Amino acid sequence: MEKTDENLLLEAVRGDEISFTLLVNRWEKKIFGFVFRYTGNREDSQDVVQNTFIKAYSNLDKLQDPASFPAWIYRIALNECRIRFRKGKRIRSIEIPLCEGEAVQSVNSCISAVVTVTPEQVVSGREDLKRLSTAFYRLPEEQREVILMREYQGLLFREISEVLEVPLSTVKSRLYLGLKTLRRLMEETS
Amino acid sequence: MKCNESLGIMLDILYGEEVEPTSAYRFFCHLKECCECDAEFKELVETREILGSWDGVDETAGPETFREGFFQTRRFNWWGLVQKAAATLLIIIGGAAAAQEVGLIPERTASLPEAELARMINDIVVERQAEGWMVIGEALVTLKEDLDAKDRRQTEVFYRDLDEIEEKFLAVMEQTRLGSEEMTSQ
Repeated sequence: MEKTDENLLLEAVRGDEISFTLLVNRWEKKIFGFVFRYTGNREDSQDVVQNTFIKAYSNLDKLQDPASFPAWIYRIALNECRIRFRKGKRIRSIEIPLCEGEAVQSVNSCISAVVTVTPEQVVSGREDLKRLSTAFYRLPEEQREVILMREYQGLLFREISEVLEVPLSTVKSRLYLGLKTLRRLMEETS
Repeated sequence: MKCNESLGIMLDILYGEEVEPTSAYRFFCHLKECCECDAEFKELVETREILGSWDGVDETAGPETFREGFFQTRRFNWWGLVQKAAATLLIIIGGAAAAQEVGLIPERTASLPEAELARMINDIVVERQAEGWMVIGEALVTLKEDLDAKDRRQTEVFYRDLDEIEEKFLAVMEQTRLGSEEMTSQ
């Protein structure tokens, strides 16, 4: 029977490194997906994910409630992203995979590989993605974070409020403003 | 439902969060009546669709590299160990063969006397031959029994057929004789 996150955590706290490794295996993809969208850069994401789990490992004893591990690990990842983002490593180009199994490319070089039927659709798809990514990274940080967690990580509003340690209403208002702003920014660039 | 109430649960409905069924019903009723809220909701749905098109972050590429870092040193790598053991074994075998080739290691020789060895081989051959003959004999007996049975069945059929032919022949002869006698009397 597969062990729960809580069980693995309890064992990891007692010094079982294998349990922590299993926990990392279980969560690294999710965290990487989150961080990659936040930073828009693969190398940065790798560093951030690594730092996230190193911090998590060295602070395991501070996690009082094992059930809150998801929120806790997202919070660490988010803080790492913020640190990285504020260090001045701004996004220059955003890597967007075009279809399953295909190598990730930069937006500027992906026209021909977009899976579409007509040339018009190719250009349209590319432009949409470009406008979306540009607008997304122009969003205020707090709005971008909420969109990221809700839209791409599938966290519930309650869970986002736990990660960000803000009231539920704040999460909703940030999300609403984020979606509206994103729409406006995309229209501006079209 | 008023517009501000509608906006209050718009995001919950948009993202499929828990909403009272009656509230959801009233929300959609309100959208039918209010063009502004309807447009607002449609715009949010469209924005979500656009966000959804930015899908498929290749999450596997990052963690793979990540694995090579911090946790690699902490993980017990069974497969790596097996590979190393196999490589070591191959090196030892190869080295031993090379050493034997150049005469560093003497070749293994049979310690049994030649006569003893010949006797053992002979025993094995004789034993195998006896086994073989037994198998052949059994097969021959079975075959003979089968053939006898077949012959008996065929002979019986043959004699039965002959009897029938004889009876028919005699019957025909009798009819012919009767016919001849009748013609002679006439």
